[in-house]
Amino acid sequence: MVRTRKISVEPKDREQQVDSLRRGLEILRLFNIRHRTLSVAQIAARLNLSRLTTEKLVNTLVAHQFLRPVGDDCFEPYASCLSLGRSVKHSLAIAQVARPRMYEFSRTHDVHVTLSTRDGTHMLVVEHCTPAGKVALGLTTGARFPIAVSASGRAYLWKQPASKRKQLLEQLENASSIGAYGTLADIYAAFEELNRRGWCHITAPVANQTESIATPLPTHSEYVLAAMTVGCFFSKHEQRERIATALVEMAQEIDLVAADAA
Amino acid sequence: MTFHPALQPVRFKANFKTRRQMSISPVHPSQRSDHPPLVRVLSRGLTILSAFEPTNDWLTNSEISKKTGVPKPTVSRLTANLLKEGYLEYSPDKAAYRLGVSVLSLGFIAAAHRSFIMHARPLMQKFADEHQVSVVLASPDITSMVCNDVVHGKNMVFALRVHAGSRLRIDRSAMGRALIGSMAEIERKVFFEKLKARDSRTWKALKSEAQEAVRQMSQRGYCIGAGTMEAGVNGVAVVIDTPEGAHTYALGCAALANNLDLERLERVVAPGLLALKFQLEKELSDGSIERD
Repeated sequence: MVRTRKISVEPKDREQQVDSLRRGLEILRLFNIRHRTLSVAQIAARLNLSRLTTEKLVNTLVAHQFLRPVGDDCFEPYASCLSLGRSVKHSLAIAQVARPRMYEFSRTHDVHVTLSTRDGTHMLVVEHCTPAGKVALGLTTGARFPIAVSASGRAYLWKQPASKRKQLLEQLENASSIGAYGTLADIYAAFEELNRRGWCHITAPVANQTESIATPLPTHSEYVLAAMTVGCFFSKHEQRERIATALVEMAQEIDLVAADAA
Repeated sequence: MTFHPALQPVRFKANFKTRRQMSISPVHPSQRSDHPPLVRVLSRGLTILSAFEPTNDWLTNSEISKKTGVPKPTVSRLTANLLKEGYLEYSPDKAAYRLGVSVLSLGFIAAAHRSFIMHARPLMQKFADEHQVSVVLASPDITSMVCNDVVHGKNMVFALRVHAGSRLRIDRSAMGRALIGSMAEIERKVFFEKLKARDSRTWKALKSEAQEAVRQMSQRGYCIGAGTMEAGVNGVAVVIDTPEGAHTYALGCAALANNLDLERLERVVAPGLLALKFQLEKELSDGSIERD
């Protein structure tokens, strides 16, 4: 009888393996509009990894064309990040339906318009339209901003079922997101506003001199629409009401058309 | 060509246009003896994600296994973890997966901007060769202009000492002045407040130049810098508006003053740079350049 050694992956090994996958993808999440290139040392420091581990992970990402070297031990996101992102974006019916309407809204009301969804303890921009002649603010597809402090994040939380909302609020508290950016009371105040009006309004949510109004999509509850102005505030109460009303109407329309398309 | 064992199952299904546009291939790790080994589980995870390109159709674990060559039990374990992290979504009806929205957080935003830069590069090179100048594409970062790409005219003896990743002082470069000159008043005010808080010396220098920059940008559409960046160097810059917003980038060119006198700069080079700006903006608007 031939004895064969049974090769099995122990649960602990499996955890370590999965951790490698998570860490590798965490590296890609470090890159954004402000940090288009990062060195191995910077990546290692930010993720609290050893240089050797970081090099192995980066090397793997380079081999799969998710990163490419740009000299001086630095790397930047490469073709696979782009093609993977395009694949998901082009398959998102909600984004296809929302984009032309958001563009029109942005031009008509001279505001930034953002469609976002949750990504961990952040909101992730799916689509963004900038009004003509205004600075982009880096809020393009793929950008992330904190849930707790943003109008979009609060509108998202409000729309979730009570159990999920509770779980997320705990998660945010554990991640210090609430303590760092605002108070639980502010979030509940936004919920009150959403209960009354179907939208919430925040001054200077993510950057100074900005003002945001957000409303969740009625049935596609994972998505939130927001209108933001920079520099010039919704100075008059009527102006804010007018834009908020139009935003809620647009959310309803996108929701209906996306449901039909599905 | 022999591939690293961890890469054997990889079957790239990516957007080939993009890969051709970004045709500078890194040296494959298997060809570098000094390179650390690949991380197998990450390699397989990336292979699984790439299996959904380009149409992001629903795929079962069996289909993913067949497509990628990764054993089904491994696929099942990894898809479960990718689902947990939001990189995949699952349909109970179809018993299948597809890419989740969180994939957009995996370097997409930085790579999307890179796509524009790769498109602009050959046009910048053509311009540099034609006018015997260095051409720089940069984006603002409060106190400096960060060079995204730099090309030099092929017959230039002396070229600017800048390369991709270099930071040029915003108050000294023509690109920084073009950016300031193209901003709306309130936007400029906000920008100066931030700059003042970060670097009061640069703020003071740039503020005194702002009026002239606004005049040049409103009257001509470009900003000239004569010896501001470095003594004996003349340059001109424009801004590039993208569908994401105004003046996302600045495009500038420069050369030694004895090769690029102010008369030639204004008569020939500046109008040419404006034409290049309009061409890039048009291609961005009509979708000739895939932004995202």
